Amino acid sequence: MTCVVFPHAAWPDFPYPSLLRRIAEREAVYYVDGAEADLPPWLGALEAERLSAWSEPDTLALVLHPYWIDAAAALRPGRLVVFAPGATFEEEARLWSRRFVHASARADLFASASESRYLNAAFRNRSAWLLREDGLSSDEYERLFFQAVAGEHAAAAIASQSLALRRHYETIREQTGPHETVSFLLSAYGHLSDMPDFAETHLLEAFAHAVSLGRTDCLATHYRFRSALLAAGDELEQAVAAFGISAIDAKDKESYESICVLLEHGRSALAKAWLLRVNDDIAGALEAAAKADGSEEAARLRAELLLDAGKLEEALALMSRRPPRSRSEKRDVLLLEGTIRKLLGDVHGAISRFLEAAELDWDAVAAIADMKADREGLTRLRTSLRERRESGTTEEASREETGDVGTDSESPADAEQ
Amino acid sequence: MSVPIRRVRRTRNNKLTAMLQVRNESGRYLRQVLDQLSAVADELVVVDDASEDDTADVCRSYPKVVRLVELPRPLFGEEWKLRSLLWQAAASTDPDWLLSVDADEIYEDRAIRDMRGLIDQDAYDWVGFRFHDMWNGSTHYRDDEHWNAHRRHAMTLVRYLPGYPCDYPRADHHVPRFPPAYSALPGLLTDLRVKHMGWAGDWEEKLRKYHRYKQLDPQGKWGSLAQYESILELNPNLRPWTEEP
Repeated sequence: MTCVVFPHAAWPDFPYPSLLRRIAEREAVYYVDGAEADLPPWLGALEAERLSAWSEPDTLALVLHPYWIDAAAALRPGRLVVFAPGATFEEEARLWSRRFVHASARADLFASASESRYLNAAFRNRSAWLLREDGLSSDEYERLFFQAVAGEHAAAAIASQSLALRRHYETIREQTGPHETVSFLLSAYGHLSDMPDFAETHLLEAFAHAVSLGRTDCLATHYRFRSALLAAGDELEQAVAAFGISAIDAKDKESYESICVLLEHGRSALAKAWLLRVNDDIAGALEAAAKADGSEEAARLRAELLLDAGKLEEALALMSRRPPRSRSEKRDVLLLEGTIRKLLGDVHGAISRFLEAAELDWDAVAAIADMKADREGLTRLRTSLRERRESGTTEEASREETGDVGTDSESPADAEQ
Repeated sequence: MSVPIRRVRRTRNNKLTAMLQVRNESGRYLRQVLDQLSAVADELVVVDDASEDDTADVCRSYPKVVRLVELPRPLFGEEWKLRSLLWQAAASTDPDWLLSVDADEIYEDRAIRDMRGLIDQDAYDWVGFRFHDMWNGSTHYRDDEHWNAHRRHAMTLVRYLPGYPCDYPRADHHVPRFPPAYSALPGLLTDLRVKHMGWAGDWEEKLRKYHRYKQLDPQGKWGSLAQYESILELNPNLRPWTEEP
């Protein structure tokens, strides 16, 4: 395996050097568009232009900036890990918001310093890492972090962190008493750890505290989650009632009525999938939908869930089982095909599909504009990395003149031997 | 096969259960209240807090009283237990809506007329009314710094939601009529009024109540000491009650 890092900044600002050092003990590690003078001897520089010829079959790709996601995915890496570090520039923060679903879905592991994004990703595909040591010693955190990123016992490492986070919040809960946020997080971690009773007890505690604080929206922000917990435990009648209680606006009321009808007709798997989906538990919803009947309605829900989960190829396969019945369906399929081609690095194929979609609906031309904006953004990022590289070269020359330079200049490949 | 699911909110044929906790109410406003509730509610549920008079017999004489829980010893000093007991008894009648009434509260005619419309809808789950403290009879209510409940709303009518949290705070006094979680639901604030007759009696009755409050709560832990003192004010600000069409 070879590791390729798609950075958000030059090496001196890279936030996880010890992780890379650990990976480099076993594999060659390359830093895309890095300034060689900046890099330690065990880390190689790799120009982005060389990526198109990349042929390593089992690459570990580490992506730290949204602009790189498509380029990294185009390598068809054996494992793709996306990092959303906490401190980002404003442009990056906006991008992460826009690209979050896409990034968390494409990645084999999505690592975030934001707990809400981490939880969102965990609910999407259960493969998320929180970039914080909460509940773990530094050594233990580093060990599990490495396992999760490198893909060695990753599922166990992810579960261990989730368990540690639950214990962390239990400790805080002992100090704070019932708390709208702490108790809710305990409930969420209980749900992710398949502990339904624990999760429901803390959810009700969080809700009661939110009520006592006069939170006017706590039916939606807290109580609704009870429907996910009950649905996960197959208590579907109670789950649908819990959702119904929280369904205040017209859209939610409509969803509630649809779920009631599904349940009345014995379509439990589909009702369960809907209940989990309205609670953003996409992974749970997909699992439930897989057990649903073969109806067109079930297929449509599965396709939507696959799109929510970012499993685009599977969604396209499902949507293509029958010819599109309307212009909007045809447009959606073309947009999806275009997006998949873009991810495979087939720019012309992507534009061609987007243009076809735009013939059906002019608004679809926005996909081309987005693509252009992403390419321009990537160019800006690379320019900033290059500027750093050039200034680094100048610094290196300066250090050579003063004798302030290390003698170890081996390449990562050398280091492997 | 189709198995009907009970919808949490129904827009018609809702069942209304009125719930009361009473103690030694015979000879006061109890019959008037039960008459009114019998006209508007489908069923009545009463918890008698160990009355020493014939309050229970009066309640039993009303056919719509479907549950009458007679406590052997009073729970007045542990109000949360009393509230919980009443809630459970009312919930056991499988209601759609619950109206919580004290034995000295009389809804104005307009409120009684509107009651069906208030419950046969799916937009809100509780209704707030304006309570007026009638003073020295039923023609005037008190309006001053300490007596102004009519400027706010009290939630006394709620949609019963099976499975929804219904724990009461474990307090001995000043426990709300309904489980606090119900306040998180969407509600409707109306201008419909209720006459609270608890202070409509004569001076001697007020004096007895004053001493009782001072004895039960000498430090003003549960209520305002200033309000307790204001009970004996000789010339309070009174406003005339006018019936609205």
